[in-house]
Amino acid sequence: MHDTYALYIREMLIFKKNIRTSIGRSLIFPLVLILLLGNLGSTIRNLPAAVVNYDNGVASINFMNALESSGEISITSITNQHTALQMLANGDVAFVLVIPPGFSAASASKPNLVVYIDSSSPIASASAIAALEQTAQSFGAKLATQNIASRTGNSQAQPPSAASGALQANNAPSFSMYTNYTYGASESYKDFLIAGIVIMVTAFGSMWSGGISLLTDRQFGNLKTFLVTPINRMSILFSKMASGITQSMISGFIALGVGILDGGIVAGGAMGWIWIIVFMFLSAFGFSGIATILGARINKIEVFSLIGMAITMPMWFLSGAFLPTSTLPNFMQPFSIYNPMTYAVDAVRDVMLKGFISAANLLFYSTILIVFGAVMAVLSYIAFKQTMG
Amino acid sequence: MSEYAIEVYDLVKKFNDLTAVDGITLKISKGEIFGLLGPNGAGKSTTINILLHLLEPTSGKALVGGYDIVKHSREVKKLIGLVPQETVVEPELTAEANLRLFGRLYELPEDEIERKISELLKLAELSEFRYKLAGTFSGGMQRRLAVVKALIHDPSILILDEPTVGLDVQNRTALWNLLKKINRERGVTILLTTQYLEEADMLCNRIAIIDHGKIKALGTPAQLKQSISKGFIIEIFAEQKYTKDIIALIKRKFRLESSVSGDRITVNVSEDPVDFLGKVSSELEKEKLPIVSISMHMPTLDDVFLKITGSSIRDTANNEVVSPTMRLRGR
Ligand SMILES: Nc1ncnc2c1ncn2[C@@H]1O[C@H](COP(=O)(O)OP(=O)(O)O)[C@@H](O)[C@H]1O
Ligand SMILES: [Mg+2]
Repeated sequence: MHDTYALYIREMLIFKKNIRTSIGRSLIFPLVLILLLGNLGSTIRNLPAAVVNYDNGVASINFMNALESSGEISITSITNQHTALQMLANGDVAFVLVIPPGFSAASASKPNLVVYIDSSSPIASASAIAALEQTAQSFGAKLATQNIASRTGNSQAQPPSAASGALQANNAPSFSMYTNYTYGASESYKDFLIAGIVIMVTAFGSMWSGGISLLTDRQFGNLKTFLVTPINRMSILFSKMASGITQSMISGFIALGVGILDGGIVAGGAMGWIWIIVFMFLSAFGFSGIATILGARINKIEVFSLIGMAITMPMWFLSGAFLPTSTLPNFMQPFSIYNPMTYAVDAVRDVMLKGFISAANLLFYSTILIVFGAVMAVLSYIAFKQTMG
Repeated sequence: MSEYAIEVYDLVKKFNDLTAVDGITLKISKGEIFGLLGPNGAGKSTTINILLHLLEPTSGKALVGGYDIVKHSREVKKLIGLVPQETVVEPELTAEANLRLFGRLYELPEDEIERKISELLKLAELSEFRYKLAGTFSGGMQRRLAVVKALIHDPSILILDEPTVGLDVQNRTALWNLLKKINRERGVTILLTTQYLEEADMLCNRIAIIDHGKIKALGTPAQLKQSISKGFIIEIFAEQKYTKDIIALIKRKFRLESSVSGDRITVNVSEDPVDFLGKVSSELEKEKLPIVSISMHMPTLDDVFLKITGSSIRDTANNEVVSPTMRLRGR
């Protein structure tokens, strides 16, 4: 314990000395992502859309005008639904809105609007859905209630059709806007992204701190100076993991802070923060394990970086940090299911966007991450024993 | 406790089919400065790593302070301070943080650590750099810090693996003085490895010459030199096609045996050699045997090494970048 503490202090002093580069290295990439991508949704202008208006009444014209005046959507009127869908298939438009006959009739229940949307570009479709929803809300109040009911039901609501490139027909009551549940409660892609990025920074931070320092300590001979003292050798491993976790959580919190300054929210309140810390810790723990396994086995920093990247990049991409996992092509779906990072991202996203995690999900997510962490810890113990013991 | 600081019995270390340490037996008394002299790859570092249980011996036995190095490695580690071959300080920590870290790893009480920090920095003449990052230190300063870092737990034995590699003459001398001081004032037994004959000669009470994992000679520097020649050594450099004739001539005219290694011929001369050099030169001239140079000197450890291993340590140590001053002939 004493020796682990002494080595931990050493790691943290080195971290403090290099604080700018250490934190900068793990933050620069994600920050650019949050600031660029996160704000991209709101800067999309003139998203091309086709409207097939079978109604042609006053209300339908008003609806189209309202949609267009949002500034985000540029409407082309098409008389033939088939042609419009062809345009969508060709990628000429981002979505097709079909206004059914009778929409303008002064009846209490309007017929449903039908939206066909290409979900392959989440940024574009998110912004289209936001505009559609906003406009629709001013025409039909039912939409709002519909949204909330759906939200609480399923955190990972699928878009109506996940088949790649396929078109979707939405026939839900009122409007077909439940497509936007792909992005949870907050309609902003930014909030969606922040949760993913916080976990990514935390996981990546542990990759680059504990593991690399184990490697360089061996390379430069510092490790030998520790091994000739009467310490328990395992304290070296423990100190690397502990300092890696601390450092990556610091980076994770900075990423979260930046996300919040940039307009992100933590809907879960105080309890939400606790869950965020717990899931950040669990991710950091597992990835510190991976990092120390690599650090114990690999002798070249270049090889470490390469393998580290080869492990973390796909895990990150497949975790839904960037895009909803449901938008991944079918053959990738299993990879995201077996990816522990998916569950850390889901958990933090639930807390940040939905405001809570159901007890069942909490148990599910945390069990997976604890098992992941435990397996990595055992493997790194074995790797360390083999090469250093 | 044993009367010896370090005892090594028939120690063998094999790396697959390479025998790095091949049956070494050594006894180092308390208070000695003992040198393991040998070229690169001789097995010096391997021997030291075994003593600290960084490597398992293949066979044989070693005791440090009477403790078996395998069975009681923890006790052994407390008795030894090591300065490894690749001098390592923590470059991103201050001088005092370097010492504090190791004080804690040896589980010293905090107040004692603070006391030792001041004392050791003073010993290393680094007191004014206490709060400076070790990474900003010159090579000599880093080496001195590494040495006192190894003393934080008051070890009775200090082991240094090639402590002066890469140091300039001034820093080398300063380090020798520091080591002598540590040995004299603190009674610390010192075991050092070196490829530098001058270092072994200047610093060590006793030397073991090691080559290919075996001890080839052991004794005080004076004993080793006298074993070669009680008098002087003549050294002749000549083109290799003439060396045979030169050796024959020396045998015929002076009844002296010579040995040759490449373009170098050495002749041991035990009688008083007044004008001996002149006589040899004129005989060679008479016979029209051209030479590059001829010189005479007292026996050095290099001569010892040459005789024992058949090659000069300077030729063997060609992997290492040897500083120019070290390439100069010894006394
Ligand atoms: N870990 C190892 N694995 C294989 N061979 C080694 C290892 N360490 C040293 N050797 C070999 O053992 C021999 C002795 O090495 P070493 O003890 O480092 O020599 P020295 O310190 O005298 O220069 C060398 O031939 C070296 O290549
Ligand atoms: Mg060596």
